[in-house]
Amino acid sequence: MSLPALEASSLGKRYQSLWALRECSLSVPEGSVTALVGPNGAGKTTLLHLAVGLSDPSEGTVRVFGDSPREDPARVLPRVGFVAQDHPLYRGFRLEELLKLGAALNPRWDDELARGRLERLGLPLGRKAGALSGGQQAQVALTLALAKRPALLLLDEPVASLDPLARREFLQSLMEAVAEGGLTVVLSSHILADLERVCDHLVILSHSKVQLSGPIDEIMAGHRLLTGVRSEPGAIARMQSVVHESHTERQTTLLVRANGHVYDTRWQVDEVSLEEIVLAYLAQGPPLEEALVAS
Amino acid sequence: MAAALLALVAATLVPVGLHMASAYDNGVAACGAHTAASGAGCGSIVGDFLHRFEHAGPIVPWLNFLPGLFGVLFAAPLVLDLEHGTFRLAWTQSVTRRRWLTIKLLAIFGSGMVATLALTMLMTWWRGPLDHLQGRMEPNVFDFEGIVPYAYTVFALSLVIALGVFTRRMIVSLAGGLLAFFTLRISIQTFAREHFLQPVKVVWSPGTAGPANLDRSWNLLSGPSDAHGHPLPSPNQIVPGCITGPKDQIERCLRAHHVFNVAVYQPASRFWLFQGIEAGIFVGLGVVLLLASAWWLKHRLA
Repeated sequence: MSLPALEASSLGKRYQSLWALRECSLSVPEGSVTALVGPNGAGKTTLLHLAVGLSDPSEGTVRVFGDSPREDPARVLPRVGFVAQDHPLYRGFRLEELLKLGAALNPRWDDELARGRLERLGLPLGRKAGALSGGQQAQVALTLALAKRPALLLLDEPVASLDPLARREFLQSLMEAVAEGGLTVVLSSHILADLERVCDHLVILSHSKVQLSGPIDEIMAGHRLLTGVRSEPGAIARMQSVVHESHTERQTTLLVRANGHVYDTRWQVDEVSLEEIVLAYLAQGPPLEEALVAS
Repeated sequence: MAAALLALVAATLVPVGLHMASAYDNGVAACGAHTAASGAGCGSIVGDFLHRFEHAGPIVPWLNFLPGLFGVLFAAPLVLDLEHGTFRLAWTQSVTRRRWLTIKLLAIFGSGMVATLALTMLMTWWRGPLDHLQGRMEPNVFDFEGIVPYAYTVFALSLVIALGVFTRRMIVSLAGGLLAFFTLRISIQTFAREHFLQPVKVVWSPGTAGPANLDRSWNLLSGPSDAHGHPLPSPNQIVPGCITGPKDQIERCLRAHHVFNVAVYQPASRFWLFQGIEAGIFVGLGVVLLLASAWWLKHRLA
C-alpha cells in the first residue's frame, strides 16, 4: 500500500492560549480529490499551512508522502503545490516574469504547461498580475502551482472570492489537471455545492477538530435519514449513532450512521444527500470526544 | 532609489569639497602640519580657511537621516512581501524558507553596506582638510567617518525588518522604524557618547601652555574657571579691568585674580575607541532585533 499523500496524527496548533486545530488525525490517499469542509475559523487554513510547512505543529505530526514538511522542506516542497487564501501574487510582476520566477525557484518547472494553460485561458503574458480580475488571478496562481508538477496540490479556499462562472471554470480547469493523472488534491471550502461534483473524499472540520473523514460514497452509504412520528427525546437518546435530530409539531427527523442497523418499522428510512450530512455534522455544537472515521 | 539619493548628496557636496581641497592645498596644508604655536601668519591663514569652509555644508546635519533612510529603502520590499502575503507564495516554491531568507537578508544588508560605503567615502573625502584642522571627534563629523555609519545602517535595517515581521504593516514599520532610529541616534549622541570614557579635564594658568591638540578634540567645556576647574560665570563682571591692554598684561591680571582656564574634552586619540563603543552598541541592538525577528518568524508567523 502506498504512502498516504497527506497524513496527520493527533495534529494540533496553538496560538498562545487558543487552539486553532486539535487532535486532528486523518489520512488522504494518493490520487484522491479531497474536500476539506468547515465553517470559517474551523482550522482549515491552519491544517493546510501545517501541511505545507508554513507553520509548525504545537503537538502531533503531519507527513507529506512520509516526510515532515518542517524538518525536511527540501524534499517536501518540490512535491507540494500550494495556493494560499486570496491567491497571493506579486502584483507588480508581469505574467511572463511570474513564470520566470517559478522556473528559477522550482527544479521541475514545466514552462510549456504553464504557457499553454495561460494561453488557453486567454491571459496575455505581458499583463501585470495586479491588473487581472480575481478569477484570473486565481487561475494564474493555480497555473503556477500546477507548473511545478507537484504530487500533492493544496488549495486554500481557492474559489471563495470568485463569481459563479469563474468558480465553475476554475473547478473545471482543476479537474482537467487531475484527469491527466498523478495528482492528489486537497481543497478547502465552506461552499459544499462546488466540491460535491469534483471530490471523492471528504474531511469535515469543525470547532478545530475533525468530525468526519472518508470516501464520499462510503459516507453516503453509511448514513440514513429516518423520518417518523414525533418522538420523545428519551426514546431517541437510546438509539445509537444519531448525528442530528430535528422536530416539527408532528414529525421527527433523524440523521443516523447506519452500520447495518435495523430500525423499527415506524421509521421511514431514506438515503441522504451529502450536503445534509455535512450540515448535520457542522450543526453539532460542542466537539465530539473522538473523531469519527468512516473508513 | 538609494543611488539617486546618494547622487543628489554628492552633487551638493562634491563641488564644495573640490573647492575646499584646492584651497587647503594652496597654503593651509603647510600650516596645518605644524603645531599651533608656529607663528601668527599661520594662525590667520588657518582662521580664514575655517571661517570660509566651516559651515560650507549646510545639508550635513540632515545627512544623519541617511542611514535610517537606507534601512527603510532596502528593507521595505521584505516588509511588503509580509504585508501582502506573497511570502506564502515565495516560501512554498521549491526553495526552502531558510535559503530564501538567507539570500534576501544578504541582499538587503549587502546593498545597505554598499550605500553606506559610498556615503562614508564621500563624507570622509569631503572632510579631509577640515579633519586635519579640527579633528573628527565632534558630532556631525564623528557620525560620518570610521565604522559607525555601517553600524547605524545595520541597526536601521534590523529595526525596519523587526517591525515588519512583528506588525506586517508597511507604513507602521517604515515610519516607526525611521522615528525610532532617529530617536535612538540622537539620544546616544547627545547623552551617552560623551560619557563613554571619563573626559579629560585640564586646568591651566593663563599664559602657560594648555593641553596640546585641543583643536582636534571634542570640546565639551572650555572657558575661564577657578583653580579647581569650576567654571566661572562671566569673567567680564569679575575682573572687568583685565580684558583691556596687551595680551601679557591680560594674562598677568587674570592670574592675579585667580582666574584659570579649564577645558573638559575627549581627546582625538580616543577616536577609534569611541567608534568601537558606539558601533558596538548599534550593531549589538541590531543583532538582538534580528534574533527576535528570526524567532518570531519561526514560531508565530504562518
